[in-house]
Amino acid sequence: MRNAIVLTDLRKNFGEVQAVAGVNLEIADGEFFAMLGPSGSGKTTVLRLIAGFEIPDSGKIEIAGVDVSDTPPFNRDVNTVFQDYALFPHMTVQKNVEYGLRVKGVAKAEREARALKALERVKLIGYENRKPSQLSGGQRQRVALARAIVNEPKVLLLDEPLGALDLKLRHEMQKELKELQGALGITFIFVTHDQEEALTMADRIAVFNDGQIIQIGTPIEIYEKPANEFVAGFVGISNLLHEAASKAILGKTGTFSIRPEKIKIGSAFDRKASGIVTQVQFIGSFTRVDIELSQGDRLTLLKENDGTSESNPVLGSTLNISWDSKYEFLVG
Amino acid sequence: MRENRVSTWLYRHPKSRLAMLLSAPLTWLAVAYLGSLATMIFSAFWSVDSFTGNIVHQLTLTNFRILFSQSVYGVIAVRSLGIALFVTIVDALIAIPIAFFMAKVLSPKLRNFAVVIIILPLWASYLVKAYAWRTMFSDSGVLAWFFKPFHIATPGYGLFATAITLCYLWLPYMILPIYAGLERLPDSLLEASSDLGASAGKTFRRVIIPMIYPSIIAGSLFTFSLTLGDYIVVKIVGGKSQLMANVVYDNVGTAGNLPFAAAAALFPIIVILGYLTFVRRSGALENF
Repeated sequence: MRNAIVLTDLRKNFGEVQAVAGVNLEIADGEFFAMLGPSGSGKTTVLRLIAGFEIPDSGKIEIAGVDVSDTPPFNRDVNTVFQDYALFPHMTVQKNVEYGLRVKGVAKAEREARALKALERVKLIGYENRKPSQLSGGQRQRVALARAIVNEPKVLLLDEPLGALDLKLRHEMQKELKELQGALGITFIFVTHDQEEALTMADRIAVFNDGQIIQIGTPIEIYEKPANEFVAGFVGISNLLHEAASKAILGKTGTFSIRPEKIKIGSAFDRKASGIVTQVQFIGSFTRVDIELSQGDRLTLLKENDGTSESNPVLGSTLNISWDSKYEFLVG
Repeated sequence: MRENRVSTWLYRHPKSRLAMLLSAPLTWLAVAYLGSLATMIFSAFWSVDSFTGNIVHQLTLTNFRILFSQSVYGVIAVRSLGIALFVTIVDALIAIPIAFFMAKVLSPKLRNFAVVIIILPLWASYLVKAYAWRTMFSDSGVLAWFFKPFHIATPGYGLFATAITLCYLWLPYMILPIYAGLERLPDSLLEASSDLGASAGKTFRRVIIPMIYPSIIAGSLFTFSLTLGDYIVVKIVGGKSQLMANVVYDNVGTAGNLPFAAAAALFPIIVILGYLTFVRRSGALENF
């Protein structure tokens, strides 16, 4: 498979701050790729480097096999959906969507037809003559999408595209973005700090921290086999067993991680432990139970709501737990 | 709770609150601004008895008949308009790049410093600055010295010197509103334009200029009306040239014909009103 994007040893400093500290990345054609990380981890800077808004200190950026490291943004075959949407307030929706075609000198009739098609794709027919100020947040998001895809770029870059939307709309847009990407076949690269968003939407995820990629993998790989303590902690709830607990419970050295939904109440599995219940939170479909082990580590487990919530563990009581040893993994 | 009694009363009486807030400024506005403007408009229709020099409080169109029939006033009006246009255009051309540099290139810390530098000349006396330009335009001035090796003669005192001096004087009034407009313009809009394939020139024409158009209009109102109302600079560096404001000044002072001065003073007011109407009609301000 051809690569849509290849980044080679990319570096970028802002004064004293190392924003991007040696990033190597290959993104395949047609992939839905997520760059996940906390704020300040360098993920947005990498996106801006790909778009051309920042000039790398060193390293190489290739788009569809062409080195674009010195190419200005207006000559790169990528388009961006901005976090604040960046719609032109003095233009109608239609004019906003037409903008890219207009500055490239596409004839009026073709421009209008393509803009309408793009607006149809994002379900915004009937809003052509509105100004951005007359639209809701979700509608602006759709205009920003239409304005980008109308240019038929090789790669679409999305900077925290759903960050400003409320939860319900966000879930709806997640689904639509995924469908849109499937229909267009364009490579999507999106930046997010929301691990759930990355897990649900992406084909592959790169987890960023301190300007570097810590791990690249499919959502299942990232979740089930986090490369280190940072990834385990950032993606999902992490249960860490440090030195003392590892030795006592697992009989191994090192720090181990186990996902909360893998831990069960009772002693049905081969790894057995017990601890004091420090917190019980009823969430709805789950009850979250925090336990403090005698070695000092805290474990969180998620007890499925199977109709026995009346008999949930009691705060301060001692609870026996167990898990299958195949679900524990070394993180450091 | 005793000390809060006044605040509580005001809290319960929003109309009294508003009255206390606005009565003083509204009185000032009505008496000092609108009152004097009305008086001026009225007196433009009076005349002066040529024997006694007393004002005749009888409505007449004499002043306007003189203004429109004597060609010298037409020449002065066109000249004043031309200089006002020149100053406005030159100031806009200088102000846009400076304001862009301040708002989009400088770091926020240096930005505030730059604003102070732009405002700084306004602290100096207007007369000092005008006389400084008089010195520079003189035969032995710095401009003559600079252009001498290129065999370019300075224009000396006259309309050109007047226009240049006015450009200098009113430049901050053009820079500041454009700077404010550009500062409000999110960087992401410029990035989006570039991202969508627009070169710097196209971004400037299609995004920056339409977005700061209201700011340019605001700045141009300053440069335009300040130029139309100025009679001192032209006296200092303008040689024998006269502008419309000089007609007003001379009729107030030397000629002692207040009604005629009032009639001439209507000229800049009518021009600015016409300009505002034109801007409104063009719809450029309703773009947002």
